[in-house]
Amino acid sequence: MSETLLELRDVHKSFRRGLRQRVAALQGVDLQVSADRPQIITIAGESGSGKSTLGLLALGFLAADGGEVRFRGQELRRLRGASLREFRRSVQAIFQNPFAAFNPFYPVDHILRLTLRNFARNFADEGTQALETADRQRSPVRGRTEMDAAIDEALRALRLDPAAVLGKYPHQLSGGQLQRVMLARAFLLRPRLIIADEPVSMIDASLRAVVLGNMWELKERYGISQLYITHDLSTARQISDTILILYRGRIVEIGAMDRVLDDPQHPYTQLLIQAIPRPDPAQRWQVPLDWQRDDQDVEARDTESGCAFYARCSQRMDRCLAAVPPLLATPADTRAACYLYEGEGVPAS
Amino acid sequence: MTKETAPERQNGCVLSIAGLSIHYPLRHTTIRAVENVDLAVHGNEVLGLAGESGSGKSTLALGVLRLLRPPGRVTAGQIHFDGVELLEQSEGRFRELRWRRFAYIPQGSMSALNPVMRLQDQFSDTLVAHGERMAPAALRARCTEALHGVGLEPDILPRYPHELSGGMRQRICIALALLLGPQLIIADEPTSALDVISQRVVLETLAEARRAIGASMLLIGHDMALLAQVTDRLGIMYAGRLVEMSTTRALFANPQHPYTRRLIASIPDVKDRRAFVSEAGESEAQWPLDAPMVEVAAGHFVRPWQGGEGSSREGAAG
Repeated sequence: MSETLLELRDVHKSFRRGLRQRVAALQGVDLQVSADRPQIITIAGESGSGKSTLGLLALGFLAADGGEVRFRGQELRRLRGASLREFRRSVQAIFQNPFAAFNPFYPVDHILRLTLRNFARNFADEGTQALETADRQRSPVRGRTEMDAAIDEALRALRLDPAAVLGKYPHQLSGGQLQRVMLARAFLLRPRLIIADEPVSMIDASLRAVVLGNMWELKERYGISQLYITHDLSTARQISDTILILYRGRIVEIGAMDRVLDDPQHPYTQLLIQAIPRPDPAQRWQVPLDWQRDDQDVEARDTESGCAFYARCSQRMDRCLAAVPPLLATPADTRAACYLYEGEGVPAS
Repeated sequence: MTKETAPERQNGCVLSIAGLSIHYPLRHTTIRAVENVDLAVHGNEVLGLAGESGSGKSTLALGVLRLLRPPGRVTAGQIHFDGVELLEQSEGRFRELRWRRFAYIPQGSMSALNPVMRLQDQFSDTLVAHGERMAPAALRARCTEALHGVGLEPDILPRYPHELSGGMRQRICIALALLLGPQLIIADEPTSALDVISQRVVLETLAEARRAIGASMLLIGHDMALLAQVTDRLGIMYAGRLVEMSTTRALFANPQHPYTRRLIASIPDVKDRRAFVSEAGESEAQWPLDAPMVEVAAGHFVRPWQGGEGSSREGAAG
């Protein structure tokens, strides 16, 4: 039985819209990040699917309405003192817009030093049982020289040339560089998990691969797990191990990345993969997308009780309206929330 | 691409741009957003223009549309549209051409619609502003037709933009652009804010509607995979210059310029896990950008990058 670093258990979250309405952003999502085996888990879905809400809940920036978010077995909202600091250090965030993430008045080395100073107590806190052995051996980062050495090391881990970024202000760096400095900032704290919400969507194509390569290396060489939140399955393909597809706040399919992308089982995943443009003019879109169009009425009325994808599904059945399908084992060795797979085996819960 | 493209101009060229430069003079420096660009959009074709942010592709479109914001201005070049030199037209004459003869689908057209106007009023405004006065019944018929062209039903006409999804709003923008039957559509990243499914639906709609009215299209974007799907020819911009221009198939099959190669190599493919480009290109600062473009194969132009034709010929062989 492997230890769990972070766990979401039957998490629900809704937001108010206007005075009376509530919009359900997440409805009963489960997710586990193992503490033993570093991996990159992609959370994919279109805008409004709840993928960013999931990231914010996992970071503790939002509180769940129902269900639990646990860090090393302890509920997030009950963490206090050293264990809360430990959570704050272990779980780091990277957001979409690198230009908005830095204080424009400070050079990046100041920002990086500030990070170390803010967490100096974590490194000093020898009583924290959760600290990794490797971390405990590290002396507390206190002095300026020591800090600068740590910063230098972090930048090099991201394959950035310290001379090229230190002393620069955020506006002097490109989006790609800023996002890599962000990763370096996270890396300084030796986190166990980085939650990256669309980290490359605002970065130019030719630099995207570099940032993705950085993320891959952080996992492979330094054992840092990541939740990669994105709408872009092509970049997810490059780095992730596991993928979880969200649709309107529910997991519709989850499994090993290659399995899900090569042999998608849920009709929504199939549609999603069909719609991705291939970078090859010899393989153009041939047939129109296989889905039900202009079915807004069904959508509004029926998704309350049944499958949220009913209105757009090409293989819908009457029973899909009756109840939300559970995650079922599929022949492709993934789990999909679709009644098509009911006969396939025992419900994998 | 000065002499080489001359023959192209004769065979049904809708838009031809020659030596176009757009500069932003600032207090201490001048930003050369577009520098000496030549390109031609032929009849009934989709020409793609790809490049990263800051490469000048959107500025080029705004220059053609005369929508540049000061201090940006066209400092050199010609823009021929269907036999008319656009840069010489008076503002009044230009307004008659814009939208009626060439229309624009802006970047982020999610917010291009007026949020406090019903869609029907935005349609009638467009028609009235371009001198199409008509009875309400005729107006409605015209709107219905335009909406059907993009796969929407006329019952959404009394709605406000916020009542529609992003994909639907984008389709409204397409319907508005096609309303007056233009010969040329200039679309600047028309799907950049949409999820993949809406993106595909919108692009297929746009392609279909364009084909139906026989218009040409200049499609600007940074998503190479998307451009591979829908363009006939493709130009690559870098630092305000065109560095390569060819048919889309030839460009992907045999990219020449190192920048084009890197751009294509860095596209992630959902069907295929690739090795990472672990470092960004090193030598880009040295690429000469002012050498004239060379035709390496029929219709395939490339800017020499190592000081001379020889190197690019070598590239063509390899």
